[in-house]
Amino acid sequence: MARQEQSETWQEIKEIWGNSSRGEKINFQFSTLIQELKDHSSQWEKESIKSDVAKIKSSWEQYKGNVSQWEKDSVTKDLSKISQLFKRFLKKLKRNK
Amino acid sequence: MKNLEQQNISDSTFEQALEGNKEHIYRICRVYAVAPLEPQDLFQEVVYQVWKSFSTFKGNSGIDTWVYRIALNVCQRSKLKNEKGSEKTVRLTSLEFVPADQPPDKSDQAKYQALQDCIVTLNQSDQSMIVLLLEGLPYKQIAEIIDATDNHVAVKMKRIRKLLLNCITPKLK
Repeated sequence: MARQEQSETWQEIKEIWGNSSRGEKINFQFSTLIQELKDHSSQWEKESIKSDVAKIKSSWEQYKGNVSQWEKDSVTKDLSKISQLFKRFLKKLKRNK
Repeated sequence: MKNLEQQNISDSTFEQALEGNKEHIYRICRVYAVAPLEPQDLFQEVVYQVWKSFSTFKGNSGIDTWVYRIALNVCQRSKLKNEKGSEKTVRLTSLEFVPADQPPDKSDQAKYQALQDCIVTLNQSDQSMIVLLLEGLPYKQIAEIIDATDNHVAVKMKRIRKLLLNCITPKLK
């Protein structure tokens, strides 16, 4: 293809592309758009949390039968240690006040 | 008070980013929209994604570069979603699409169709590059958007331009 012809075709392509958004005008109502987007975001977050909880529940159903007594006791011990430490920390915090 | 001021600044930056780029976004959405999705559906999805990611915009690149990147990602992902049959998109009532006073004539529509047909024959990475070149962006900015080097873009662009020209020239005659 001759260089001149290529350059003309390329120019035409650029015009076609540039004109391709002229069929429609886009109007934003920003005063309401931002609120609408916020509403959508929180809805999206809610749905996302719901799906996470559903996943956790279903995997827990499969998992809970396989937890041994030793694992349960071990978790109980850890939790009681954490809560004791937390109580001590709160006491110190109150004393310092 | 300071938070409110910051919120106002970020809202106005968001508005400027959309207002200044709406035609660019629409052109990209139009070329990627495949039935049952319309360009308007993709456009709304881009607006929503720009909003959702807005808090992560650090200003390392220009805001236009960042908007282009989101638009391309959303449009490319929509193709995959479409193939999987999950074409659920956001509906925003605060966004209005009004037909232009002078709609494009049949010949313009046919030329656009020819261009779109040729672009979709390219692979995904070539499509992104040619779309950004048609948007008039310099190689440096294209490289930033697609996360490549200027040199890589320059080398590839020569070949992609040739492919597009070979495809479209007989159709425009």
